[in-house]
Amino acid sequence: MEDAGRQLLQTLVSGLLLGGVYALPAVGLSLIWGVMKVVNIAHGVLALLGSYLALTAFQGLGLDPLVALVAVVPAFFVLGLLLQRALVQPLEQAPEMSTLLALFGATIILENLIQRVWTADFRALSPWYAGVAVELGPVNLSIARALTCVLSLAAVLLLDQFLRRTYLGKAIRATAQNRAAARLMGINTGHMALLAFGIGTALAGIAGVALSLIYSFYPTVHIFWVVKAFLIVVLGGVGNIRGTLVAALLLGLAESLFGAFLSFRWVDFSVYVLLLLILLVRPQGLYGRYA
Amino acid sequence: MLEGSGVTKRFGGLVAVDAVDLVVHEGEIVGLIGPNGSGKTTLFNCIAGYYRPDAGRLTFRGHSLVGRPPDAICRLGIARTFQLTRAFADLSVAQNVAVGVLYGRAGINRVGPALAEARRLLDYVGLGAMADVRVGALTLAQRKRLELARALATRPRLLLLDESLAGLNPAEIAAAVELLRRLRTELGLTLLIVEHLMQVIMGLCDRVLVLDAGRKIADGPPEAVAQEPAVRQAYLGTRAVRAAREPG
Amino acid sequence: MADTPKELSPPVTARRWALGRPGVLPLLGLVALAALAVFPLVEPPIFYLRLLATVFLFATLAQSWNILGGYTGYVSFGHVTFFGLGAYTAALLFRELGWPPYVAAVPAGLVAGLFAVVVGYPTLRLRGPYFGIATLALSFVVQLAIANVPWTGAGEGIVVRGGLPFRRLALEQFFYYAYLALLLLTTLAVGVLERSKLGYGLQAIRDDEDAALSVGVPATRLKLLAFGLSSFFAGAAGCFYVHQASFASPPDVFTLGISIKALVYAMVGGAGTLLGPLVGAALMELVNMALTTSPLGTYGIDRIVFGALLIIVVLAAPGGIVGLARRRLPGPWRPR
Repeated sequence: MEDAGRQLLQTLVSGLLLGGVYALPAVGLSLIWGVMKVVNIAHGVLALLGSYLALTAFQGLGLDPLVALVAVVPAFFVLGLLLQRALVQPLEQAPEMSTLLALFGATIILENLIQRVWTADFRALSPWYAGVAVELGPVNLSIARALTCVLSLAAVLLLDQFLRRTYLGKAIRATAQNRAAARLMGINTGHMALLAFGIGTALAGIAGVALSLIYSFYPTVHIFWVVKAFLIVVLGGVGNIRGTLVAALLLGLAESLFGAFLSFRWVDFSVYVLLLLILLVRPQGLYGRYA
Repeated sequence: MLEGSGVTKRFGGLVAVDAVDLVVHEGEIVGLIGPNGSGKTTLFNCIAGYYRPDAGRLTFRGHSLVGRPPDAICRLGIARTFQLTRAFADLSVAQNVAVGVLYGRAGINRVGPALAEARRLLDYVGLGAMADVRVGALTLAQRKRLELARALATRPRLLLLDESLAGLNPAEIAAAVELLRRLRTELGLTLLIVEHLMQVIMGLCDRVLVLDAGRKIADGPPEAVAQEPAVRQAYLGTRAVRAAREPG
Repeated sequence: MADTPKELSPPVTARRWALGRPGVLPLLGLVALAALAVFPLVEPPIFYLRLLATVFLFATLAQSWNILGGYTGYVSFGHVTFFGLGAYTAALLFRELGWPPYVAAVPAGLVAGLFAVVVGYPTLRLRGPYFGIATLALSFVVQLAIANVPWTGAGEGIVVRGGLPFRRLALEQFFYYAYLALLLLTTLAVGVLERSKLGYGLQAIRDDEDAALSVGVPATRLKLLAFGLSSFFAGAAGCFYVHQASFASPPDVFTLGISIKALVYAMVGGAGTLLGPLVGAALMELVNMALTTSPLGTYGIDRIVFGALLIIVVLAAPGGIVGLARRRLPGPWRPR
């Protein structure tokens, strides 16, 4: 009985940690989607690029992946600006699917560039704390997972505060809610869209570095990342940062519980079925507003 | 022919159409007017099946419209045009109309005869010369005629026209009003039209329904309705003056 | 009516008969078809036989994708789902009943088509990106389900060897003709569809679904038909593929790469045109071969080119190669 209780507690903790990590790729996607009404299908492959850059920094330069963030964040911000200018902005007046298809083209290119540079092998990062766990009362806490979760939550909360407190953040939110009205208020919505894409892409970079600490990765894994992030965004309400965080935590918990007590091999299957069901039943999210 | 009672449509907390009763008799031309945001287009969308009313009844020749999808409502004999014209952009003008011939009525299931019938309809609305053009090449007035021809292609008994004259110049308006009159006399159509141009409403309609903030505030012959204080206050007060000042 | 028409389509009467229309292309098409039909009989190197067979396979997939993605406007990122379902149906029919591919093709297509109709009923209510992502998720769901169920061979896969009484050259010739026949059938179906009542309805849905409903187009039913038809041909292609590869495993027959190829080939050639998927598949597979045998090296480079071409088409030439040709080429050379 005590064992069962301990297992449950362990599962809950793992689930929350997992969910915390999931939040990071999802908020970036949510921000871009909310502001620009663009589903950035390249979000996963951008994160994956971050993972591989952390790998090279670690193996080539001996840098801790977290230190690599110093370079990854600004680099990805700029990459986001370039992508927006090259592929998103020119298609603003085009049919809705055009942007998704153009970004899909970018996804294919990036995936295969990654494959050429880093090969198709499975990779994993192992800084000194990778295998270390500490006993906290009845549960085992993996340092890497805890660290990643903290990093993720910090980034999400920072973004939330930025969007709520600062002038720029409010302008981005105004653009997301009603572009025409925001423009009438004197907001340069073009710049806001650009900024949001930059920030969203930088978040993808951080997410990639974070994910590289706890998962092994390979060039085609990104599509699973982006679909899972998509599920979380839809669940939490497009453009709703706090909703996205809650949805990520819920998904992490659900996966963890399902894997521990029902069937580990059907976890992924269930996640995608859940995505389909949510899309069909409540595309506006569980409690989010419809974008 | 068309009867509605207590028709209500809400969006979140906003009541866009609030317990509206309406009747349109066979052969009538009825105008639906009201300030912007008064619920005219929402009511149209309820009748045409794009929105499901939250409450109330809507029947057309004895068939309930509530819960019936738009394509089924079209086949019952109600056709509509859109406020902003919505042509099939990658099809030619004749092909646009042929879609209506093929799907909106029974009898013609082959493309060849459908295109021939489409040309006949395009001639009828004065667009015959443009039959093989892409719709992108049409002017606004021509696009509105195309929408009309496409709606006529479904052999409707009731035609819902949503601001089909907005944005036209005076000469085009005069021609279009003439065409609408012919729809009744030659084709025996019943018309329910949303229109902002008061001289069109006054000159064309047998009866006018006035909506304000989702409620029906008046129903009667245009001259009588125009005299009602509630209407003048809600709507005509500003607009009639402006309409009178503008030529055409 | 003072405007002069900017772009005139050919007169309708002339367009009724695809091959009877005056023009160079149909004639060239017939010549090419005759050449392709006799090609295997001259006993060419197997490499070329396989290359062409691969072109036919992916042209079939792109053409079947075209029915839903090009003509109906519902862009699928999960076309491989139906290819894989057809492949597994054929593999199981072979394992359990010993059915050869030419017998299993129809049931394989039917299983894929019926599955599409079942899942299409809810998913085709989604529009644009939502539908795209849903089809992607669906391909994962089906792949994971098959990979987890022991009866379907689970992760191990199913061996499909010896379904045909041919060896070496004859076997290659068989698959060459099988894919060619399937491609012709699919293209014929699309050609008929394009100028049928159904095709007009689908194109109306693509251009403006609400307006299509307003003139009585039963959009739900037509979209299901399009999805079913599109998936039927993909499933039949999967059937032949699994016998050619002599093995079915989830990562092989449900790979995202096949969905990508179907989409990119159709888009680059010209989505919503009859010839587009054929042009796209032929060109891209040749580019593919040229690149992989070039000093640029093996894998990845072809895909990088796919991605770049997809971006170029979306940004600069939404009609693809056929769209460009329609605008740029002189009359008799202009594809429909």
